[in-house]
Amino acid sequence: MDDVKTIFSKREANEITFTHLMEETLKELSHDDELHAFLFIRNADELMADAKAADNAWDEGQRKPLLGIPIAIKDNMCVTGLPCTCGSKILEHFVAPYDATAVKKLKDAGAIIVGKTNLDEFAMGSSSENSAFGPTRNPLDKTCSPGGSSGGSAAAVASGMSLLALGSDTGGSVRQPAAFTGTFGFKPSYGAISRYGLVAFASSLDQIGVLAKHPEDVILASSVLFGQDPMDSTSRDIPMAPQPEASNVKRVGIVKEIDSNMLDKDVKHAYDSFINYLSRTYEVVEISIPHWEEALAAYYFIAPAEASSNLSRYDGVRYGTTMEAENYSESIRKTRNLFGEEVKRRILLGSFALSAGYKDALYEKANYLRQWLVFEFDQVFQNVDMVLTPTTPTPPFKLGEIKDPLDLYKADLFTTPANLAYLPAINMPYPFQENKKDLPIGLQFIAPFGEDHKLLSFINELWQGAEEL
Amino acid sequence: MFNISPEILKHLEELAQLELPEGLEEKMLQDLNHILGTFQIISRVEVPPETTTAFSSPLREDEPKSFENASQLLGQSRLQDGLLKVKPVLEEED
Repeated sequence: MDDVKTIFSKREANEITFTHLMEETLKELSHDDELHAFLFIRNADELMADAKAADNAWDEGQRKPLLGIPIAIKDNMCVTGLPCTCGSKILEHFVAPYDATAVKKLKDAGAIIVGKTNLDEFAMGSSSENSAFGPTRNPLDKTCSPGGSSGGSAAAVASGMSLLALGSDTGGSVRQPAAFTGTFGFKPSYGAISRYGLVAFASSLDQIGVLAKHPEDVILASSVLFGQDPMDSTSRDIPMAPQPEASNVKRVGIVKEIDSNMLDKDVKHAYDSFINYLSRTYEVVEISIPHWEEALAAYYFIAPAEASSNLSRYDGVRYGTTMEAENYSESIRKTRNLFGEEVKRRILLGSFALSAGYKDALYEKANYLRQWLVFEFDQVFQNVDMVLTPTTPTPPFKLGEIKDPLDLYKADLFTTPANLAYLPAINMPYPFQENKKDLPIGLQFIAPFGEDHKLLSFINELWQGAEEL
Repeated sequence: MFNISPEILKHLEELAQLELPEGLEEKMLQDLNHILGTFQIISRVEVPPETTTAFSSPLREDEPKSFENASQLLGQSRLQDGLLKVKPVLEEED
């Protein structure tokens, strides 16, 4: 599928129309019963009417940055009049009464929202199997997971059901599914994109991110989405432009604490060979982040602790489904029993981490660890421009293959440090797969806080360079 | 070092207003203790140095604003005379 710039060039030359683009998208969407990337797809007539309106606007001379471009939205973000289930029975019948700021910005930029994508319940998971409405399949191998929690968004982009998709990334939920589907998945610096209208999971970690097949589309969408928003006090202005510029990256750091013996052999091969490739152009140096290995532990106390608080609002009174019972407190308990097993596990773990007698030993210590990571990345970025890691320790796993929750948590091993340290990070597909039919391997680049544009420009340079080989 | 006993699990269920279905309690106990055992490494973390990187966000003024669209937010069936209808909160003593 073409990138947005190429689509606009073809539209300018009257080689295609947005109506034609939507027809093609609808053809792909009609196969979604095989993938289950979407929980809700908008009516075909409505989508065609939006595409026609985009064509008319173009013919009248309007040039909005995403005019007529089909976009999918993870089903934990509000789109006026569309369901917002978060993959949970507890919000099964909830319809959003307003647009998330990110959604409003996309609509204002001319994008056409095609539907809401599947996810692990409340974005808690790494396989999309925790959705109360059934798992999503990986378009590259339908027996495999597309990753999670933004597995639906990743599958939608990888299969051509949308050009771009929004996901949310609390511990890797955009980058890991991007790695599993051979797409680009970008988590910006904390605060770069407003979370107003994103259903909260762990507020000090949650970020909205972008998935696409082309790095230039990630840059373009980010330029639309970035910006301080009075509705989200954690948001801030971080520079972003619609076009890439020379990144001037010279030194790339490799994390010494990553034990390559614990990588799957295909991941290890891709990682080592990409380091070799990089070292032809850049200075590749070993760096140390001493608390790297403990980051996952910090994440799995901080995120559940915040989730236990954020999810206390689902009492059957304020939102979504209500389970009737004799009295108020019984009704709350019955309603909250609609949460799936993984959500319950994290609420209980979070409640434990915050409970009297354990808060100092668990939650406070996890926050110490987080501060260590911020400090150590700060030190590292005085010597290198970017840090490279594998995105995941393994290639995509089979659906149903991983039974132990802890083994699934380990899929986040390399992605959680960027969330804990508030840093921008992106998954880039390993570009030198010998057999194009092999399952994809993801490479992660992490940049200093606020250098999101430099990171995306660098990825664009790398991708173009690799494609020319 | 950290261990959740069946009694603590009951207490956590109460705190979180959850009630695990029969059969899930034992599995949950096992899973949670496995997770705690693996991540107990955290208790050895030392006090970090002061960093100059500021990530604190200035909180905006807490100004109550009315939401004009309450019926859409809550669903018409749950409103009665413009007020939210819930089960009795206070029970009469027998």
